[in-house]
Amino acid sequence: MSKKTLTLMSKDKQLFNIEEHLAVQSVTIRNMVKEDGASSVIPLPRVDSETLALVIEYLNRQQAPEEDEDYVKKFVDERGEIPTLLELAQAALDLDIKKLMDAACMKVADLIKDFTLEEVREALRIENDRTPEEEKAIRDEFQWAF
Amino acid sequence: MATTIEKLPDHLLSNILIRVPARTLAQMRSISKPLNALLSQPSFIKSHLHRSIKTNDEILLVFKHLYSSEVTAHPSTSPHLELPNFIQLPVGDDPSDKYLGHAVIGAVIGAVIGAVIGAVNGLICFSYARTYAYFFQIWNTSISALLELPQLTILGEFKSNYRFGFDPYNDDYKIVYISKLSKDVMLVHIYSMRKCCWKSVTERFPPHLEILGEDNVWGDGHDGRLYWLCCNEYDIYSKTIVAFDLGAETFSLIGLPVDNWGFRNRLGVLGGKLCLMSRFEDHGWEVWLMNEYGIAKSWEKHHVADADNISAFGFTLGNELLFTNSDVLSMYDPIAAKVKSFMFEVEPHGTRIVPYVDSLIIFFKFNIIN
Repeated sequence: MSKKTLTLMSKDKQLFNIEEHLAVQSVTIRNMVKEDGASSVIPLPRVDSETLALVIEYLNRQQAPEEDEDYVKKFVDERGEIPTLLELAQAALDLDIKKLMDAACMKVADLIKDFTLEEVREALRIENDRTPEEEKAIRDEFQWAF
Repeated sequence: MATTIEKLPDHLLSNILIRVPARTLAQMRSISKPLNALLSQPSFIKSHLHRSIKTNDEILLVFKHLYSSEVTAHPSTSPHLELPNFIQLPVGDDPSDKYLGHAVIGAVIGAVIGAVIGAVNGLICFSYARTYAYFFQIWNTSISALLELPQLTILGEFKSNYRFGFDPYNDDYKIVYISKLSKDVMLVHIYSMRKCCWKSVTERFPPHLEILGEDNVWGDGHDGRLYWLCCNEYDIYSKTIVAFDLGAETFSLIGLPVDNWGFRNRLGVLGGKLCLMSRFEDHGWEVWLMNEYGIAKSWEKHHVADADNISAFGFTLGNELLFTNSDVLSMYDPIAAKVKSFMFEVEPHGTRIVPYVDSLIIFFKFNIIN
């Protein structure tokens, strides 16, 4: 019996094939398959092709369950750039792939915890909406935390 | 990959931030208003707390003497290790008044003595006495925030007992202060962290019962209830358990496995269930577990040991048993069936061991700042 294959389409319209039994590690894809049999192409309009390639690489891993935790940790460690990790975490959230989401978010959290506030602002793309006076007031208010 | 500066969705942001330590998050509040709003949301604070309890390796804080501020931190995986500079005790503003920053052993008149009266969700509550008045502080260990409570003065009390716990119904933290004025008159006052005030309650502590020593209860206050082990007046045998529901603010009685249940007992919590750790003269000690809350018939013998030099403290959040073996502090991991020693001696009565919990829970007045 040949294994059933699904086709996923990224935001930039690239197509990726993956065996169905591997793709359904994503709860979102599993639900789509259940609903309409998913014979056609599954569009993933929020995931770009580079990220989808990573997700597919992760879904295709051939790991024994007991090594899985280490594998996913290593997998995200090797993609240590914050923008990549954020894309990966967002894709894992959208596709509901829990272990990948956990590991990617954990990696970002580990990286930013030693950053300066300015570096955190940049990494998490947060706009500075405070005047210097306001910033000082907050610092004074939360003095115990600094 | 990301070429444009596009705001991250809140869902992604909060999934990352619940994994960041509380102390770092407290600093991040100044980054932006929306971020401060996200970090201040009760639902975010709760998710962060639940994740840290579930995921982080447990760290135990050992207060070696009841009235001293000497505290050490030990990872539960290797308790013989001491984590240096892990926490710093809060120090009062007045330099002559470093009640918790100094070792303050001894009850010299006019001196200050402090003790841990409870710990839950990363908050540790201290009481300290100074020239016949009691003061209380609630301290968040992760972010070093300290709340000094308004003083409560009760005239004519000759005995008091106070405890700290979490009220999940009102999402509040409370101190219950019981003061005995005479043989039949016991007053009950409650401090609510949410309301920032003390109030006296009409609910009475069950009469004709004496509260056994305060270190007879260990690790309660997590599930909305506080417990006291009580005996009849002029008696030393444990007779009953008094429970206080922090949400409804009512007392109730819970029976022991049998009446007059020995006299060397400790109450604790194991996996969310009430447990009783008892020493017997003739056959070592036993752990009993109350399977159905409030049903005395559901007490079940859970664990027996015939060593007579063992004294149990209670169970950690990870369900490991803390005990002393010939005064050496140790813990037993029932899953790995392994005993781990802290490699130092403690006084079984007079030592407080509380879990360190990474927590953003702060005093509610801070939460409204945006």
